[in-house]
Amino acid sequence: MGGVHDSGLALSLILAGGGSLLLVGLAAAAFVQRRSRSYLLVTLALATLLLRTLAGTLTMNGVLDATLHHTAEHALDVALVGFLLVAVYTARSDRARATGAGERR
Amino acid sequence: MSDTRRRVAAQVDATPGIHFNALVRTLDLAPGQVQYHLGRLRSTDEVAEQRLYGQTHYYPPTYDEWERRALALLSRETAADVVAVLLDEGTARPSAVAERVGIARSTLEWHLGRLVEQDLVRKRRDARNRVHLELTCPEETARLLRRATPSLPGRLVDRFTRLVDNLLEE
Repeated sequence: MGGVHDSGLALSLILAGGGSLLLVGLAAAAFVQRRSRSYLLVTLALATLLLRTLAGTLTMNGVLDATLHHTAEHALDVALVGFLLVAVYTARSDRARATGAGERR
Repeated sequence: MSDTRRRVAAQVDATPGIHFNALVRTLDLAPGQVQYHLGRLRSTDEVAEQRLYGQTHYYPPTYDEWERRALALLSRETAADVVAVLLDEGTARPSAVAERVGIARSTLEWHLGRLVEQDLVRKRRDARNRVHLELTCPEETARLLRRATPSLPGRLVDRFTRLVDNLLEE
């Protein structure tokens, strides 16, 4: 039973890790092109998903204890929510900069 | 000419504007090998190289400087969509182009910045000082657009920025 649970967990970590690595890569490439605060925040938000997988892997290998892991996961949720909220809040001013608003079009 | 070198040259011919990494991937060769053969092909003027916005593209030698730069930009999915709308409309207001392509204004402005910088698109102001967009050389651009081949990573980054810009649009 424990074996099934472990392999299920390992598979989830591999899928989540691979998927979030791809997303962070895309976000980083987009940030390099745009160099805007919105893209930095979106990249950081996606990076917290990658860190979640990292924390999971460390716990599975006994490096991180379960309580600390639990706290880390929820702290990363706070970070993710925070990054997204700031991105949404600053979207208007960042957009004005990106489209050169103010200049008559 | 060695067999491998002929393959490299044929691939550049088939997909003008291809990136170094894409060449390595498509031909399934070692990066060092591709680099060596590209060096030899360049020294005999069988392949031309163009650096643009931090990326190196390779072309058959028949492409001139403007065509090389144009082709590199047209291999971006969103830029190609914008150019296609302008081919269709002749001249159009930026807001109309953004709406027809289905992208946020910030996405359009970013791609326009490069298209104008490389002289593919011109911004013209009317009597009321409103901006109109038009292609600098429509026929040439249409011909190059047919030859442009977007790469998978480029496509994914374009779609990612499209999504994020749309989500953050007010």
